[in-house]
Amino acid sequence: MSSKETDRINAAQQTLDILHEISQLLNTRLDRETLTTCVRMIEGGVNPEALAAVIQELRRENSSLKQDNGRPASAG
Amino acid sequence: MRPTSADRPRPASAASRRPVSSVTPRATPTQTVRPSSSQSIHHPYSGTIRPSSSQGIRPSTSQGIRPVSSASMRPISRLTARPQSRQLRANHLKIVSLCEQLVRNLQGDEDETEYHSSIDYATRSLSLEGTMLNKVGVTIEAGRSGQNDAWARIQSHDALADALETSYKRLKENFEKEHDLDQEIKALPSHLQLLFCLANAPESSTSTYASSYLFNLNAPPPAVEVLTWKKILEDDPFEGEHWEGVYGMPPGSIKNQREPDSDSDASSLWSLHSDDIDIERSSTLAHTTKITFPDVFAGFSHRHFQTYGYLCFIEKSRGPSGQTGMSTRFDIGNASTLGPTLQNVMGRNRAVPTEFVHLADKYIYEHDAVREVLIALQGRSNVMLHWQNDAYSATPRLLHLSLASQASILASLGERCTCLKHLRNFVTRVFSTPSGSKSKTRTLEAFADAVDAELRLLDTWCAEKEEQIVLATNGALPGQALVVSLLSLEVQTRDKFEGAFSVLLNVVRSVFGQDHSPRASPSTTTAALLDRLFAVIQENLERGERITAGVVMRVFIRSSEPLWSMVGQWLKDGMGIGDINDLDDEFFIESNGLGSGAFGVGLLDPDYWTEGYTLRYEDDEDGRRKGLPTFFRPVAEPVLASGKAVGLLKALGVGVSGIEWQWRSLAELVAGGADQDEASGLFSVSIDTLSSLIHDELAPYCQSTGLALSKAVVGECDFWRHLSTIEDLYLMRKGDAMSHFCDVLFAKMDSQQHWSDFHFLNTTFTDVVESSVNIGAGEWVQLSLVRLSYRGSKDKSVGRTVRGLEGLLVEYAVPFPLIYIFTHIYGFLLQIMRAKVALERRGDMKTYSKSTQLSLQVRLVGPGRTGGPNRTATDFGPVNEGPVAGPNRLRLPVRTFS
Repeated sequence: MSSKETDRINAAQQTLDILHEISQLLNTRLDRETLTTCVRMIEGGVNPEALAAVIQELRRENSSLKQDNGRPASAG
Repeated sequence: MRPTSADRPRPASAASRRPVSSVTPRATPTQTVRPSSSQSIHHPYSGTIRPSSSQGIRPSTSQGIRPVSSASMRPISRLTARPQSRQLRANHLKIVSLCEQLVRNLQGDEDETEYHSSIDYATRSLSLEGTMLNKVGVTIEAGRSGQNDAWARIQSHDALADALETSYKRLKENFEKEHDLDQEIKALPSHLQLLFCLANAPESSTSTYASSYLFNLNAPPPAVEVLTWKKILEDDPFEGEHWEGVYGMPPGSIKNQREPDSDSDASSLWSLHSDDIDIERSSTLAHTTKITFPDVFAGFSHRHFQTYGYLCFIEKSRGPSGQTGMSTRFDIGNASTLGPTLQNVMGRNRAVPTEFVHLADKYIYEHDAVREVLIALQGRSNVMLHWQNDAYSATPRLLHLSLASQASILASLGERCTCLKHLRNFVTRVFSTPSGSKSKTRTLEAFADAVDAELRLLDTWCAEKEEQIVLATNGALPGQALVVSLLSLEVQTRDKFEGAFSVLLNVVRSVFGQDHSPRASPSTTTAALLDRLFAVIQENLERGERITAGVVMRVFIRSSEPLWSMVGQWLKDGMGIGDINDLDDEFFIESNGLGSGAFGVGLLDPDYWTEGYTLRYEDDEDGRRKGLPTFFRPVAEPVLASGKAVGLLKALGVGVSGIEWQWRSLAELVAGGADQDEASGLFSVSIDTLSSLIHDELAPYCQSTGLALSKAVVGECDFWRHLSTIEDLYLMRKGDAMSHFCDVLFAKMDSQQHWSDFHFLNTTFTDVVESSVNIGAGEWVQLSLVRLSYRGSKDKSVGRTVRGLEGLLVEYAVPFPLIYIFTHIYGFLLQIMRAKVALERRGDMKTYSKSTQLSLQVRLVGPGRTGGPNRTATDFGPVNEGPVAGPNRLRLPVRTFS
């Protein structure tokens, strides 16, 4: 792997770390893995507001399922 | 048009010949050549022949034959040849795989059906609309970040605000530094927009994370040091941790271990030497990824406390926001050292290091604390007092107060805020109840409105206080010294409002219960509320708490207005004719449903006027009447009667325009009749005074109504004429006619003939009356209104005695409403006459008349005889006292028959 490639990956990792820190400070309840997935989707051209709406809807469904079944909700 | 030079030269034309047209000959095979016209003569230029112009014939050009354009035959692009679905399919697959990961992280994949449906939903939502690029993220995210910082600072979450600001700056620096077209993460504004959309209110864990984040930034974890041979060789022998345990050397035998220092309060940067600082900067420090604020210190050894970065953090976090620093040494001349000193003492007792004692505390200026308490009094969220478990509790501290003293001062303020909060909840609950609900009466609504008005007065006062503080802070109150402290605020609220709001809350709880919902009937609840309010006024006046009494009196007056207006409406409109349920459920007069409709009794039925409308009350165990407020009890019956009178007048078609209607509100009434009327609306009114005020206000209306009814009865209903007729008939004042009738009747009885026949009785009476009219006397009775009938025993033996007359009925159809006034006494009088006649026949009358004198007197029952001739007992003839015949003790002042 070339040094440029390594630098690029390190920079991306650093940016992702900072984004994760901001996400924690804003109390978005996104773990690192989910945040990475969201970043990839947005980089692929997905609208961030639409993605946020989808995430909130999935969380809502999960909490209603949890109430129905009495099982703990998945992290994310 | 002249031919052009390009045409063939025109020969000279004769005047009679028209030249051949130079226009291209038309191919008109169907048309023949037109002969030249004799009128068309075209003359050329003075006969000269114009040579052909050099411009006429255009030479052939190299561009004349134009090659075919390449645009018209464009080669087919390779893109157009590519199938469109392939690109979209690739994009779609990518999104689907990412959606699968997202759903797995958020929901899990245990329920397959749900899992797949969620993936479908996400894919559908994001692939169709999600491909739109967001181009306005750059400006939006900058504003949003600043908003979040400001919001955190306002809520006194300084660590969170600093952390947000720092992280945002780092992100910007990182992005600008590494800006490259080929970088992995390009759409940074979009990522931030996603985070802002998913942001939630901060929790305690967020604040903890923010603190640890800042701590880690200031004291970054040192890089893990790899032990190399170079380092080993640089060290002296048997020095360094790597020598531990080597060659069996016991711990402690290796140099370069720092002994833990004794506890000291001087853990400040100033206590370190410069060498120490250089060494400590490169020392190692334990670092954990998921670190919480308390955990930061739990895992540290004392050596870590000396880290330069850590000490910088401590120095920075010491002291309240905005102040220069917090000293832990007590200085009697400096009040701000009291709180921290006491806290230090308490911390030492709990074996907590000095540096950590103040870190969890938040400190606030006292004037800011006063402003926060003013905000809390207005029921808004604030920093000082938090609403928890139905009560307010304080969090930030004041430097110059100990915990106990601060808690003591804030306890009373918190209690007042709690009381206000409960009152606001009650008012909100009443206002949010639907209007059609039975539990929401007009009085309850008026009470809630009155309480809300008092709360708004408090809000206004708090806002004025806050304004003064702000103006004084900015120097806009020159020459005025404003003392801003919690104690002064406590004193001012007490002087301004006393315990008014706690008293109101007690009234609410006593009448409506803890859940603020009425359980009894509307009238009972209304009466209980008004009685309770008035009782509280009396209690506070007796105790000398005039401000509280004034506030409660204002609330009482406003709460009583609906009931007062109902009374006015009842007095004005009276009882409804045939209307059922036309009164409010909380009014103390109710309709019993005896209307004049199809299923009700008629207007002529006395039950309708007696029982149609009654007072609504029920007796409780103490014998008091519930449903009727105490101060209305003296006037309840007259009000009811007056309303019935108005209804009767309406039924008679007589208007009540003669009554002067000048209805005043209860507030005007009480203010006008009170002994004192201060600016705040306080006055000393007892329950008796209020009752008498109300009675004096309503009495004219009741009297006017009664007078109008009397006039209508006497004038419209011709009361005196009917009374005179009744007297003539029932009291046998028309002696000659009645004697004539009796003679005929007794003759029939004596002849043993059937005398109780309906036809005979009425015919005889008619003949008697007509004969008296023919004689010259006026018509003293309207024969159509009189009907005689017999309903007594058919036994012949009874018919021969006076007892046989007991069943004789004389009915006089008095028009409505006079029918309720008179009673039937004719039969009794007839019995007396029969006995008299029988005794006369036996010849014992002379003896009897001397010893016994009949004295009968009839008392007329009526609504009153005002306005008519003065009827006294002497009008009926001389009155003789004596034994009364018959079972009824009626005294009839008639002529004695001697």
